[in-house]
Amino acid sequence: MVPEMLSVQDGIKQVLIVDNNQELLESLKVGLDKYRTQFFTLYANDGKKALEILKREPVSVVVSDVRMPKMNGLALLSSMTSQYPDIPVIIITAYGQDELEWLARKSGAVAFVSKPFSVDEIGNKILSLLQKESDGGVIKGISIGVFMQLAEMEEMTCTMRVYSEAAARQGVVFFMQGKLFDARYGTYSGEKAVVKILSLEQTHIRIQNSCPDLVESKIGVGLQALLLEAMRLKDEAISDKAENPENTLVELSKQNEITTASPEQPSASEEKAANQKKQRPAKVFHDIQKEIGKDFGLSQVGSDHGWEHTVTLTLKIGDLFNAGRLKCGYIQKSDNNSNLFIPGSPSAVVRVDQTCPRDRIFRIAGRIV
Amino acid sequence: MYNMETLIDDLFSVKGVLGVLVVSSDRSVVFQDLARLKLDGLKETDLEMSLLLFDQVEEADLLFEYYRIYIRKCPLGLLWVIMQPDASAAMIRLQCDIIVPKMKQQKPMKRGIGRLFM
Repeated sequence: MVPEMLSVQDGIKQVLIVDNNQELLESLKVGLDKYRTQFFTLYANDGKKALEILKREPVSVVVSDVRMPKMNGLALLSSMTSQYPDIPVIIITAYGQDELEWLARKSGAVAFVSKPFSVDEIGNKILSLLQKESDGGVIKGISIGVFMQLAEMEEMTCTMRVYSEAAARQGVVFFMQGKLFDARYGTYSGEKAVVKILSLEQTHIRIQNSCPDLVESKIGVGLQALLLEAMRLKDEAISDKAENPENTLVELSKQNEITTASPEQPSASEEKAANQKKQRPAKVFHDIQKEIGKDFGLSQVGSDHGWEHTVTLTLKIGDLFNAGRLKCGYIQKSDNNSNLFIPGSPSAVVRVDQTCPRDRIFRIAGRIV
Repeated sequence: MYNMETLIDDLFSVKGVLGVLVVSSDRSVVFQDLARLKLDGLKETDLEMSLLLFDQVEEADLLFEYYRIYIRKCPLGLLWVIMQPDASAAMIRLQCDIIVPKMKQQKPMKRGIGRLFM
């Protein structure tokens, strides 16, 4: 028996059918209904409406006619190859339109259906394309940040479709040989999209073992920096919520109260800065732990006079070689104690075991400084 | 017996390595190749102070704005590798795992901290 209430949250994919022929749309709607446990269908009358749907809905395959008003199938295809290179397009052509088919193939269409066609012909073509979308598997219960780090380490080439049940939205991430190439989230692309995707919660990830050739590298910074930025935004959102539970925007009148505080008393902003300074080592530790997990013997060590002295001497080494600002360091002493330290006021010191992913922590720490 | 230059060449074969220094526990320079680093000159006092730090150190890895400095205890004293910040530190550690045991068979070069200064 087919369950009636399946949704995108259940992993059901969406297929967008674009045609201005209302009769054809209606018959496809009826005919493709038998595939509803595998995919849902969305409908648009022209290319323009199709692009509007693509902006807000996670779509896995587009099936489009060529002749349509406002924006025809080839124009839609051209927009899709630049904005949605990962979404395969099936073009419906009239029998004997070889030249048009050639043009469409050149523009990025992956399959063709010639009129007249049977519903099963189109249904099977859709199913075979949907299978490719998760040929690398589906993962649930792992954070997208962790999985992206894995993709980087394993030098994976893949397309990840990240669906958040909490946000009911999907983002797409492209990796080429371990390098984060691009991402898309709603109308965002590049780094902004990655940060948005990294903030998603309750995700399931569908992995496709390929990255479209048309995807261009749009990410100029490392994954660690983007992870940190996403965490920062998340933290900010949480603290804003905690500070202003009813209204996340600080009212202007309240800001005025802060700036006119008595000069004898530390102002709220000074107090906040002092608190932040005090909490810095804990925050650094927390940020590192969040990134690499609780393994690797991570524990927080207070920065005492001895450590400040170590940091000072280390700074001298930098001076010796004109090495610039010290970002962070790792020291393993003969008693086998290993510590990471990040200079600052006060310096943050974290105990680790020798198997910790030092390069990864350095990258995180480098961004914290 | 291994030739020190050959051992050090293995370190320079890693992309991004700019300089290598071996300093003995009595602060004398056993080996140095810092030609790729554009240094005006090293300050003796700074080096002395810095070496004090590493008396109890087995391994240190320091990430600076322009360089990454990897320091490893070796039979001759301390081996310093100065590299670009994005050089593969994992490769350097691996190379050091290989060459440090071979250093046991090395004789120190001329003594005296003066060898270090340009």
